[in-house]
Amino acid sequence: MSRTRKRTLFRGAQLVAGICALSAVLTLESPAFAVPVRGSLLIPKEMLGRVVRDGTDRHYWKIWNGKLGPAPSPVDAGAMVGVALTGPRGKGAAGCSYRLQDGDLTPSTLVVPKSTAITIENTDSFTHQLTAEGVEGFSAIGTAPGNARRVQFARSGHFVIRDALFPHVEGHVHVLNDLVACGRVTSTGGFAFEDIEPGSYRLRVFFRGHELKNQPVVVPDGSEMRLEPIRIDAPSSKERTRAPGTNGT
Amino acid sequence: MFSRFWYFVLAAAMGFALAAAFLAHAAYNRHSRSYLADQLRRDRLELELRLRLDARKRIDAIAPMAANSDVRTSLKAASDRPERGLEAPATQLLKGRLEALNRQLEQGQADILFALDARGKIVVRVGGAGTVSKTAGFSKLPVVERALTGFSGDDVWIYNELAYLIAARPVMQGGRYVGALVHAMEIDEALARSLGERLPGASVGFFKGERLIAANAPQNIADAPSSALMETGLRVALKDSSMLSGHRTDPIALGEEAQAQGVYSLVTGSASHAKTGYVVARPLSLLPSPMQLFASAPKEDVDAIPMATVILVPLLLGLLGLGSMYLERDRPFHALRLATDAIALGRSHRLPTTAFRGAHRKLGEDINRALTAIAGDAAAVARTQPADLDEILGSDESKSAKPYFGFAGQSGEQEIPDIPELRSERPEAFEQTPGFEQPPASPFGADPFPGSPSAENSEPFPGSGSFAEAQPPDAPGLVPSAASPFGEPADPASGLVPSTPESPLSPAAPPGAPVSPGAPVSPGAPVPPPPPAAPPVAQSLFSRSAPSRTDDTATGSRSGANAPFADAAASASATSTNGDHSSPLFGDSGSNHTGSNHTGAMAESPGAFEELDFLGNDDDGATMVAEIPRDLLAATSDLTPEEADEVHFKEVYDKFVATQKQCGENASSLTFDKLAATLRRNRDQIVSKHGAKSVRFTVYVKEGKAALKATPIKS
Repeated sequence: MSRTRKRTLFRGAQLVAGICALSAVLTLESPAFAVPVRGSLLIPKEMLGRVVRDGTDRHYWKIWNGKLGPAPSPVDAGAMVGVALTGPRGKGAAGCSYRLQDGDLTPSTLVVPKSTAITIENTDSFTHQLTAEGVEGFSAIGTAPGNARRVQFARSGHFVIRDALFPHVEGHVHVLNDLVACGRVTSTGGFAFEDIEPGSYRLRVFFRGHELKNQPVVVPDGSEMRLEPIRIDAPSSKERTRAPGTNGT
Repeated sequence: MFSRFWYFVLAAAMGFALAAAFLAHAAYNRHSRSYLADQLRRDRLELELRLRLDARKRIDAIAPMAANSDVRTSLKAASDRPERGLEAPATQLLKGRLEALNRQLEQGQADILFALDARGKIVVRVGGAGTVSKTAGFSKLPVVERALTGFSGDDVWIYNELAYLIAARPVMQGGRYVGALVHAMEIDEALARSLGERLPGASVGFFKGERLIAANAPQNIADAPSSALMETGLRVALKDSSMLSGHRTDPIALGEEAQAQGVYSLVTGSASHAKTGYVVARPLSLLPSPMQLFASAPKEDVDAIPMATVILVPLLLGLLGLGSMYLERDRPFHALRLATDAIALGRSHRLPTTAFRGAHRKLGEDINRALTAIAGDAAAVARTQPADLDEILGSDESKSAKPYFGFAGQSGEQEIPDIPELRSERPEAFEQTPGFEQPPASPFGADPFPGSPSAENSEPFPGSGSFAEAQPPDAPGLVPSAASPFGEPADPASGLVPSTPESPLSPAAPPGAPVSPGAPVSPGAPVPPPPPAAPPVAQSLFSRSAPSRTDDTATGSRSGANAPFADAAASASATSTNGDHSSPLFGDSGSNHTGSNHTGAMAESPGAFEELDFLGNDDDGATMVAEIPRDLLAATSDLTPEEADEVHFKEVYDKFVATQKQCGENASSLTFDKLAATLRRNRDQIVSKHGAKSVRFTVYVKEGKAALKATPIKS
């Protein structure tokens, strides 16, 4: 074989190898572009009213000022509803944050991943003593202002967090095995998941001890996904005020 | 008896008093507990009311703050710029204004005062420690939430480990709510003291969990529950479901000795969730013993005691007891002492036991026996025994055996020889009655009748006297000869035993022989040996007339065998005056006859006399074999033996009572039933012991008193 022919074959082989390598690189490392998922919840107003447990609001006086009529209580759906995406590739708690703010747990419905430590930050000016029955390591320990409480839920299910000092504090924790992300819920019911990779998920909506929605969501590749408004059927008033308990189911 | 009853009454009264004391003690303690429990409940209500009023006062106290223009404008500005917040100069202005207003509240000023914007975020804080972030707020706290919507209210917080009474009030500006003011007053000793002053005598404390965070005990109460004592009840209170559900506990005993009680309750507010509450306690004054009733009695109660009644009633009862003691113990004892003194002084030889009753009588009898025993005269024992029915007849087996069938010189335990049979028809009976067996020893040897009067003094054993006269001077005793004179028919004219040489009672005996009762009956007198066999004395015995002998003693003659039955009254009269040694007589003619027979028997046969000496306790009237009165036999001929006995008992009773009256004795205490029972008992004893068919009793006078004799009837 001539030297030229050999040189030509060698160059051809190099070209094929380069093409194959390029193809392999392009094939294996092609980026899946994460997109935000947005939506809104149509929440009945009666769901967002203040829920007072029996015997927790004890006082001597409640006196109207006699000048101005009572103002409506502020409605903050985001402080009461938990929205989460779950899927087979759930690994963490993206977008999940928990804190003590204005004297209460925010949000009061918490969605947390299983066996993953979470942090509850105390942004109030006073100490809280959070505790949860049935959760190991979650006894009533004071959390001073500016500090945070780290807890971990080893079992999936529903748990109730209370404050040993303030009876109005009541948080409902839903521990999920395949939590992908927590949605940030606005006071009006809008929610958003940031950086959700395309794929199939389930959108789950929790309100206190109840799961009000559990629907599939397919996040497309490319651009932001906006979901149709999700209508939430309010549980009965009895169910709303019922503390489901901490049975872990 | 009454004194004994009185002791019982006194014991019962003492028991009643003790019971009353214990009941009063228990009632006092129970009332104290109940009163204290009620008082604690009232205290708790009072304290709850005070807390309620204080909450209202605090709400009202911050009204001027909420109305202050600087406060309103500052909060409005802060609410209008939630992102940027209030400028620093405005913040300082607001803080200064609030501090000034807070100071004006004096005692009601807040320990921490918060100014919140419309979102509930803290704009300014007056008081308190540490720093506050700009994002901190209270909007989710119920009292603040209410304030931000236009309602003033109250609450109790545990704020950074301290308990605060909270009052919140909305701040309005420009026709809207621009914020709220939160007044926080710490629960401390000052608050506890302030509340305690409104509950005189009560200790007030506040607790958080198992720790008492503030307490006040009144200084003027020595045993007022301390804070430590109030803390001891917390463990019990915190497990009380009633308290945990928002109510109060029942009074809880405090301390190891339960020297106080307390009522626990949670506060009205959020802090109740943290088991924050208050306690009202008071000392519990219990009496450790009933005697403390006197010590703890107030003066007015002591003054109200009717002292006259308290003193006079026990005094009267005491005197009553002393009186009964005197009547039932002292006086009889005094009488006994006098009687013993008389003995000691020689004025008397025995105690008048009939003058005593009960134990004193028994004591007197024992003393008499002892005296007799000491004197060494056993016979005197029997002679000095009173003519008491029970004593004569005996109340038991041991007593009855002796008096009825004792032979002179023979103890009661000795066997009694056969009893001669009696027949209803007297002559035949006399004829058929076999003689008695000779006793083992002469009764005169053992029962010599040392006290027997002389024959001139109507000797009770005229037969013996006559017998003594009749017997030859050299006759050693009154032992009948083998050829007993009793076998001879009685001399109807004299009633005496036929004068036979063999008879010791033969008229051939030298008359006018010295009648010395002591001679034949003296203890040292020689006793002739008994005959080998009992002579048939009954026939001769009963064929003779004792009255004849008696009369013989007095008159020396008697007419006919039947004469004794005819002049019984005279004989009885004569006999009844004979005293101790009068011949035993029945109260009727039959008695005389019997007595006649008896004496005749004695005269004729000392052995027979010994056999017939049924009354071992009465030597002078012991010898008798009854002859059934004819009228009695006639009256009872158609009766059964039991009926006949009852008729006989009635007659005996009548005679005995009549004799008692004649002797001046008190016969009122003796009833027929009592006598009849005694007679039946003794009859049964005699019958069973001697195999007699029945027994007949006779009444006679002994030592000036009525006495009884028993005569067994063989057939």
